[in-house]
Amino acid sequence: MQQQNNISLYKNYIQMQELGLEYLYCGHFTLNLTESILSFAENKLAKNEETGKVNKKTYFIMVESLQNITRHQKEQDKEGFFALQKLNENTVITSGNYISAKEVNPIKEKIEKINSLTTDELKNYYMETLQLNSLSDKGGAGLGLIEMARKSGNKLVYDFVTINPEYYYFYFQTNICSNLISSICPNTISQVKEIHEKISEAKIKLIYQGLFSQESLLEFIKMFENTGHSKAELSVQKKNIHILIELLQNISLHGLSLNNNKNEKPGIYTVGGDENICIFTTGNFIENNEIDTVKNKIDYTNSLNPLELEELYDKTLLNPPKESIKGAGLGFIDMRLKTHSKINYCFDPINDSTSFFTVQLNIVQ
Amino acid sequence: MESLVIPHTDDTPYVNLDIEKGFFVLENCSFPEDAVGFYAPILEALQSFLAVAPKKFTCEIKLKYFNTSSAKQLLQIFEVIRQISGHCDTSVTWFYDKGDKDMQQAAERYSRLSGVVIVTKEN
Repeated sequence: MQQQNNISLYKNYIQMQELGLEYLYCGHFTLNLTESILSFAENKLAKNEETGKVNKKTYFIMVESLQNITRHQKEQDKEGFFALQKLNENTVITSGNYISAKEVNPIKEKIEKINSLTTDELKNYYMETLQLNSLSDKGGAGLGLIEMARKSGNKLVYDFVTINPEYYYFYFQTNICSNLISSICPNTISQVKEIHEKISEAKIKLIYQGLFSQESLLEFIKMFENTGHSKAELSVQKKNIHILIELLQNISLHGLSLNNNKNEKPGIYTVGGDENICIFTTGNFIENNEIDTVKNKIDYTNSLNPLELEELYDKTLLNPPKESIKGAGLGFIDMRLKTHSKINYCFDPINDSTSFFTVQLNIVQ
Repeated sequence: MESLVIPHTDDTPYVNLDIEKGFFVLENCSFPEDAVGFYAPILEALQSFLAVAPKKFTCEIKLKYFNTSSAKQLLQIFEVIRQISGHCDTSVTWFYDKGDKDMQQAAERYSRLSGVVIVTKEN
């Protein structure tokens, strides 16, 4: 079988790793999804050696950012965007949503004003705004923006992209430094914007780059259940989850660890497609001496018809190959049987001993 | 010997092997990282149950989904059930969600491979 290099996630992995981008979602935000993003981010942040104070601030800013997205989404029913970045000692949160043209200038002025104030002035401005109590149409009073600036201790970063004369896309970024003395936080809005445009074009809804474990798998399942693919029939939804489990456990069980910690398996995973098809793609490191075995296994599985696949499944279940003690050697056969589609894959050579392995499954909804 | 009850978690099923009543149930999801480790005490308990010459055995499988690592362990469970069925009245029912052909086919596969009669029932 011809290897399909166009599915490779290696470049995406490197780009996201360099930017410290761990999580990125674009699409419809449900209340459940918002909750699962928060719970996922909370676990991620808790693992870092940050002070409790910074974590609380980060959490507050995430809640505000997500609320901004859902507030605007209600009105325009268009795609929102959220990205979580860990860069050096900083947490960078970027949100994106459509806004009407008439909102652009008031928002711009508000942010510029906030950015021009000192810490004390910001505090006074907050009190003034609170007393004015002039609730905006969408329920916020601009207090959110002031609080985000106060809690982050940094300038707010924004950008507007013209969609058409009526609508703009509003990108908003907050940088939170874990080291409170240093306030040099990077502005990554143009890179994040570029990735967002790229993945929207590729119809990718979600990307995670980072370490894979059983714990993170459970978070991803919850998150996936809360995204747009839930419109499919129950049996299809279960098929999606089943394939997701197999793919992610492939990384956490068989992925190559790049340091001494055997439980830390770096990799990337994306969810894409539309209402007719769900596309899962995963990428992880692999030892070069394992490539032939994996390649032969997938090529052989891809060459079989459904009846032959059933027979191979039975045979493998009765006599699992010795080399796969953790798995049962059934993974690829099972994915082929359940999806009725071929397994796409490719290997990107990295050095004499290591390569990057991308695998993709398409599931008809 | 004592009955075995294991509460379900996000990735492991609820397990209940009631020795007195001769009742065994597996319910919810099964995709632990270490399926061999998770199923070892269950297989052991079922084997002990076989050893006490049971009079009756009722088994209900109500799994929503299971990973391929659990698949092999389930076959081992059905192999013990086949031995139990040689000693006493045995009934095995596999429940699956409406329209879930994958789980229905899984039941048929286990029946074919283990020789245990499995009744499938749509929820």
